[in-house]
Amino acid sequence: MISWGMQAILGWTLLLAALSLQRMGPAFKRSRFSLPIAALGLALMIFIPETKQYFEGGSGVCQYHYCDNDIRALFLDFMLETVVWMTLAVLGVMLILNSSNLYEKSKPLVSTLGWILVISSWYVISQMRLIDYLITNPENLIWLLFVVIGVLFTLFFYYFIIRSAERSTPRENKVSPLDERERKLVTEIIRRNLRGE
Amino acid sequence: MSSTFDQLDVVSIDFLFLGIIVGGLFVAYWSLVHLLVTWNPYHRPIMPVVMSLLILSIPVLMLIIESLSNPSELNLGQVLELLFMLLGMGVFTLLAFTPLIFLFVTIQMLKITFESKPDDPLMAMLED
Repeated sequence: MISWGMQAILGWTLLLAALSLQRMGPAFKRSRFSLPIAALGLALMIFIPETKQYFEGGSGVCQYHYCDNDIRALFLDFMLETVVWMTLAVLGVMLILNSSNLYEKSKPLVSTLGWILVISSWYVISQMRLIDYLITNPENLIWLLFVVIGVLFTLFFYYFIIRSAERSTPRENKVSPLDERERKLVTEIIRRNLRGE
Repeated sequence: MSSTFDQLDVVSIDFLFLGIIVGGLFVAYWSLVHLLVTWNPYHRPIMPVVMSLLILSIPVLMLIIESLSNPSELNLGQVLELLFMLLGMGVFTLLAFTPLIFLFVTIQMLKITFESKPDDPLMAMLED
């Protein structure tokens, strides 16, 4: 039987895969598989199995962190709280953006609803045990700093690796500039798109 | 293994090293998943994939080197434990500090709510 820890890592992997798939392709046609894969990943991270008890049969009692029941309970609490606050936050931000007068006419009622959701998500964050722990132990910010250093260090390496891979790609010949007819056509398409025609 | 992680002091070389390894592994794992999922004929992903695999193998290599003094202790459970702990710490750190990013987003939402629509220089140029 797969342990809860391994299932959670598998779920996280599917969430990352769904995010990558969602970013593929043009903006008007994203991958249709990203949403079901993300839902499956999230389900795998939330509906985690319980560890076998000592009196149950099988291959013996697992003594590692990835099948520890106490850590499982902490993880589950943290995940459920995170899912709740992030859902409220995403819905709230979407409503506020849609109701702002940056793109269309202002919609105060929708904006108020969005702000209620954003404030609710801050309330959920303030009730999280982990956030309380992080606030009362500010040295955890040093941990974040070290992790960020690791992230930046690795991204720096990736930058050089990807740059060298790109440079080794044979360059294609330059295309000829647009002629007068093509330039008019492109200008007209941009004008229509900007005016929303 | 569990005692090794529990004995770490905050603000020590081990702690710094662990933090950097966690950050590196987090990026390498994410990149590997991304490159494999979005594989297409126009990509040149071989070098980044190899680099991801190399970074992901660092902790396992360290475990193997550590176990040279006592080979009987190394097993698959320990390797999985190490990968679970390091990847789990990365995910946990990201999710635990996401409210900091949300704080920034909330400030932006405040600005958007109370800002008026700016004049669009591109539209004015089109009218001309």
